[in-house]
Amino acid sequence: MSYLDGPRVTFAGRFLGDVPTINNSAGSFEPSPQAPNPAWNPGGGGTFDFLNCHVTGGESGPEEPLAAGDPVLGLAVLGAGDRSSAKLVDLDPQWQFSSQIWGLRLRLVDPATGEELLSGSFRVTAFRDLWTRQAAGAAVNGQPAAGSFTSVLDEVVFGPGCAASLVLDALRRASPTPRLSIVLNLFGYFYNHVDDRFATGAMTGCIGTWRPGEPLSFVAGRRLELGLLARTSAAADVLLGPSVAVVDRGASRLVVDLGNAYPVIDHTGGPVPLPVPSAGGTVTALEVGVLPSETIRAGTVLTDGAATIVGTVDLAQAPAQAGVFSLPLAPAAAVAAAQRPLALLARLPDGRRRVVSRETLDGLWVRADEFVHRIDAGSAATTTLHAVRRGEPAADVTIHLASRASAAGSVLSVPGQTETGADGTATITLTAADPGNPRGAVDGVVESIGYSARLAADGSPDYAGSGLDANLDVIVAHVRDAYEVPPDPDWARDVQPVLAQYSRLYPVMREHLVDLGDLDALRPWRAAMLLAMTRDIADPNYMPVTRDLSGPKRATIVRWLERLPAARSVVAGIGFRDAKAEAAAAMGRRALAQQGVDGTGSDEE
Amino acid sequence: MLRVDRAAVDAVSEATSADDLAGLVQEAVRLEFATIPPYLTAMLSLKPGQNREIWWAVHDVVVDEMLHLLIGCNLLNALRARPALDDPAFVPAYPGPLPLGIGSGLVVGLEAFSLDVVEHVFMEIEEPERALSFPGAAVTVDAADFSTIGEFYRTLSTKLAELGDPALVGDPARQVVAPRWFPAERLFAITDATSAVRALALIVEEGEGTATAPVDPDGDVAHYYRFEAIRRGRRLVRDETVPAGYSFSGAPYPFDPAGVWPLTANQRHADLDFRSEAWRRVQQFRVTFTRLLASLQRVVDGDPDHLDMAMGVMFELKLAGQALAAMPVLSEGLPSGRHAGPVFERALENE
Repeated sequence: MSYLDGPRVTFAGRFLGDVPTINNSAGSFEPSPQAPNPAWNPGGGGTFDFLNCHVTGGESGPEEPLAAGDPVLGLAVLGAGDRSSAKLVDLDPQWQFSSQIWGLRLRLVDPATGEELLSGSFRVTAFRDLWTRQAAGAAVNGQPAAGSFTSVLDEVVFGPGCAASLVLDALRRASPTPRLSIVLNLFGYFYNHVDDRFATGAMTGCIGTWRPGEPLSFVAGRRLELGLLARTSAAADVLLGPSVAVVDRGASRLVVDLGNAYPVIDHTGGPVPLPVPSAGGTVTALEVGVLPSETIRAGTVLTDGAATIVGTVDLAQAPAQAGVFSLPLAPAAAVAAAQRPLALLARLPDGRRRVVSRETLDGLWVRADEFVHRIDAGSAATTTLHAVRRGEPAADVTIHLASRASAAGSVLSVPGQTETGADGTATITLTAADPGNPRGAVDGVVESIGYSARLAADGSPDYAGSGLDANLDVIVAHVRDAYEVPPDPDWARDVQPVLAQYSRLYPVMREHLVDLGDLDALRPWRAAMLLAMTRDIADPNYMPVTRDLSGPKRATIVRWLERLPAARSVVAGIGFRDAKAEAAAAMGRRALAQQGVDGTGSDEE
Repeated sequence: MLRVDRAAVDAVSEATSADDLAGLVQEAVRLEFATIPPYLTAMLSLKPGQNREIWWAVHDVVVDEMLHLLIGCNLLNALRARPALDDPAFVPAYPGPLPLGIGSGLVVGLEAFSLDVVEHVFMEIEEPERALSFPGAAVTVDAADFSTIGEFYRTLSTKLAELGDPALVGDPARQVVAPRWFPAERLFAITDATSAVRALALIVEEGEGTATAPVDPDGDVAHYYRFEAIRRGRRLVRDETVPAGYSFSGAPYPFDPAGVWPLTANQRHADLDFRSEAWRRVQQFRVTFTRLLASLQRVVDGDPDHLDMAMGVMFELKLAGQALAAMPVLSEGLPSGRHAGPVFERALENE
């Protein structure tokens, strides 16, 4: 089960993603008297939060949409109530395609009473399926792309008020563990200062059940690839993003998640309305169906009756239901769906259908679960790969892996291939060697590992029909340079160079709290620094916020801070009147006055 | 001087049980907290990199007030009363009188830093019953036809000594002790009358100094004289050349009026253009402020280790406030010449 095939709650609203941007450029990491390139949000503090986000829909069971009076409708979706905000963080200046949400506690709260009905800790994950979603461009907001964060909520607590909500009660009863699945679909992000929108974007989301054995960062269902919904002119393709569907056999439903797939006109989030004119015929409706054979490709136009139509998707309904559409699956369609590819079809005025998007080749889909890593030289990390065929765990699938490291060579050891076990998973270990500091001021390297269940003729992973993007669907790691913690860390040698870089990259700290590169400025913040630098990495107060400092370098700073004498307030303590100093200063003033020097230089001749 | 309602002091005198004191101590906790918004607003109005010595001076007083708040909560918990911080009634409205204050007394607002605010608000809040006079300092004479906060605390201290240990039998696990943030001699568990009396003395001395010296027993300059030093532009130092033993003849306290953002005094959220960037940042500040109250509530509700998290929220509040203060306010798209001030009102939902 996942948020697609059990009881679920959907929500919509906005989010704050106050990401800092000086660190977007590797050049900014170099010490320099020149100011670094500020980019569009130099003062960002990394905060991630929900804005004006509310429950808009859901289902307590198949064909049991939310009753109008269900108290879950209108609940506020909030971040933590009694600790710091979550953070939105890039992996590296050279890999900005896996921004992660850290330290997010999600809550469903009655906005009138403050009563908490559900809460859970959002397991750290990065967005995936980045694509160009705004069909009419992004002249207003500046960012046309969208992506989705699929994860789980851990340590879930259902409040007593859940009993009054059919859907929350169903969710609680259907959850065997204190874990739920969740997706956040983000789009319409503002680079531009318009009204109150700067550094915010639009969001829909869905919360549902999770079962042991399921992945933690995606739904292991049936993957449909990105496709062309309409070609309105040469310059304005309307795309349909990558999506996933599941067949709920027990309930005879096909549930498709178009939450990060339905195209929107612009930042306001309105779905592209149908009918939409297109080269080759106006698209009058979007349908979900089963293709007549495995060989049918995207773009093919099928005669009426060739595909098994499961149902029509009304995109106008998409925002309120986070793009999740649950369609009844007739027995014949269920048989077809078990054997042949699912597809999203554009219905044409004459009854023919153009294949917009189809399921992966042979229904086979592999995907890495933990796909973003931070690994110190000499350490290792593991990733579990899941293989599914038509939505079922696929055993004995060989997954080929290949480093995409530059010619300089790979620092990550990974097996060239691995084979899934009976449960359809295979776990690999990534072992990191010392990168040897090839980037100078930027620690370590970023390396990515491509993977696919098929090999191309040249022996590299073949992504055609895999549902994977060759560049973005990778396992990516920031591998940190080897570093030995000095027994007695020195400010100038070991600590200041590291902290001064943070000071340069994140002026929000330097300007508003403390210039980390200045020992005197830092001293009073010793306790706060020690706290932040010894937190668990998933803690919202973890420092550095960017989570890019290697373990040994962090340990060095902690060791240095521990030995730094605690500062006594320079303000609070009483001093002594220093007669000698005063007499000396007065003597100077007298001497200058006697010589007629007033210090302004105005009497220069 | 903060004129405390005589009835509150009388009620303390007449108390016969821990229960009788709980409501009064809760008001004292409200008072300690209520000083933070005006101090914090002044601090946030100081531009980055400018007037840093004053920033630190005010910052350290804010930290002390946080300490006093926690001491008050320790006392409440020792009295077996639950401190109510995450409560709509906890934060007073500004401008207005402070909790325990008499209605016709000092009205405290939220304003940008100025020497005038220091003299007429901050020094008034912290002023001892009998302010000591030092060379350079203004001599203060007040007729004591009302009570003072010092008198309130001293009466409370006497009452606790009188009621004795049986009045202080609250669950010790609810006592907040946090050596990472506050030395053990300043924040300690209140488990009996002796520790209660010691804790109250500390609150009074940090604010007012002792009866004979402008410093607390640790040698730290009391709040009142710290503010007076800022007002006079020179630090208070020990000075053997004058009979009082102290004078405002220490290092200068430089103040550059140009280094202050022109914050809107007593900012009201509704006065900002709805859905402007300043409006959203004020909402962010309010939500963070609400999280701070909730996190402190958790700390004093038996989870003292959560103070680390509360301090994290405090940092976030400072950052949110600094970012807000740096933001020029537009009115119908045009610069208003003012910047948005922080709003210390609760808000559950970020928008």
